[in-house]
Amino acid sequence: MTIETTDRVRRVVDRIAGLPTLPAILSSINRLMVNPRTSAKEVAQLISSDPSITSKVLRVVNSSFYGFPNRISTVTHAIVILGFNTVKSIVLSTSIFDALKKSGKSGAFDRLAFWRHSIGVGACSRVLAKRLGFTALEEFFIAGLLHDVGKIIMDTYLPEDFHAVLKRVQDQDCLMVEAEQSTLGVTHADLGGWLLGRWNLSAGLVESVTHHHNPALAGESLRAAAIVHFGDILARALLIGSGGDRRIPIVSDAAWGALGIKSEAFPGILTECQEESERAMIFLEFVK
Amino acid sequence: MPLLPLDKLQAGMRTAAPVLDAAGTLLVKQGAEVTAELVERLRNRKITFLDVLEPGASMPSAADQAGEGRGSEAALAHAFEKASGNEVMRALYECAVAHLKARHGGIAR
Repeated sequence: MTIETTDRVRRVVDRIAGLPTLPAILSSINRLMVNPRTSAKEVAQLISSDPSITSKVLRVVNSSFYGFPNRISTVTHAIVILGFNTVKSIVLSTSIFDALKKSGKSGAFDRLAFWRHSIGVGACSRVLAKRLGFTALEEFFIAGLLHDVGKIIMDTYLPEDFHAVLKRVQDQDCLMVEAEQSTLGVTHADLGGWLLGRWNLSAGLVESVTHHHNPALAGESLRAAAIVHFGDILARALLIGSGGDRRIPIVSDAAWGALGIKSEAFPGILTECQEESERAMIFLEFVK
Repeated sequence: MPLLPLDKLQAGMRTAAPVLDAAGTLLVKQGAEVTAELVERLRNRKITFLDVLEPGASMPSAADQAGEGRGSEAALAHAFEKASGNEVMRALYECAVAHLKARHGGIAR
């Protein structure tokens, strides 16, 4: 983010009071996980101390999103089968929905369609990451899930500005990001990246969310940002939910180069993304 | 037509769309009544959500469904309108339209 953009973001976020926070259990899990001697049982005990999070984790690990034939009935079992990082990501995803699920104030933004789109982008990003040989697939699901979180900040904390953005989108039939830039001088990508930084999420996540509309600026995180950028395009091409506008961004040259995909692969990618998105809709349960 | 998790389904609802597995095999036909046996069968197949019609709602006709497909195709054409100068986006658009037509033809839903 340039100094000028950072200043503009600061001026906008200075007007916001009471931003959502993530539960303390996440930092406790992180503390445990930096110790290589931590056992699955210790992490499971910590997660199991929160019954609400435990039930959500078990709900997700037993869904078709992970597709295990036998029922997983304890968090320890989930960690043994899926690994620490995947279970931590599930805790993070469900906590994000909890932190952000309250209704918006602008009154004109369809939150359910928004979450469908976000889950779809998470699923498409996960598919792309897998095809490109990444192993930390859940990180990409979360990056996609959160790529538009800045819109939730606007809808909840800056309703008048957001109303003006939505009106511009409607009047000019443009992309939301274009309307935000001309209305506010900052975009949902800037605000989302800023929030993720406040939540102490990884630099890769922060960069890929901040630059999902312009991956060329993502530096070392170019490929990660390119995946979220193209995941967004794929979810729109599959008409999964709505991020609030009716247009599709044009793929960035830098992103296309970094992905190294051939357009001949599109039919297979679209089918895979559609199926993955349908399985991922289990997460919609947590926003209702 | 709401997309509901299996535990929120009620007897008397009907499926709003055919349910297919990942290979495209028909598991439940469109318009089937929701019963405890059906829910159990879906649960065993690891299906977690179902597109249903509320009790009493009328089934969309084939013409309605074709209309929905055409509406989606129009939405896609509109979304890609300003992107047609880009070769990658043009290729993606063509594949997205083919994918959509296959879905509305009943291959995947």
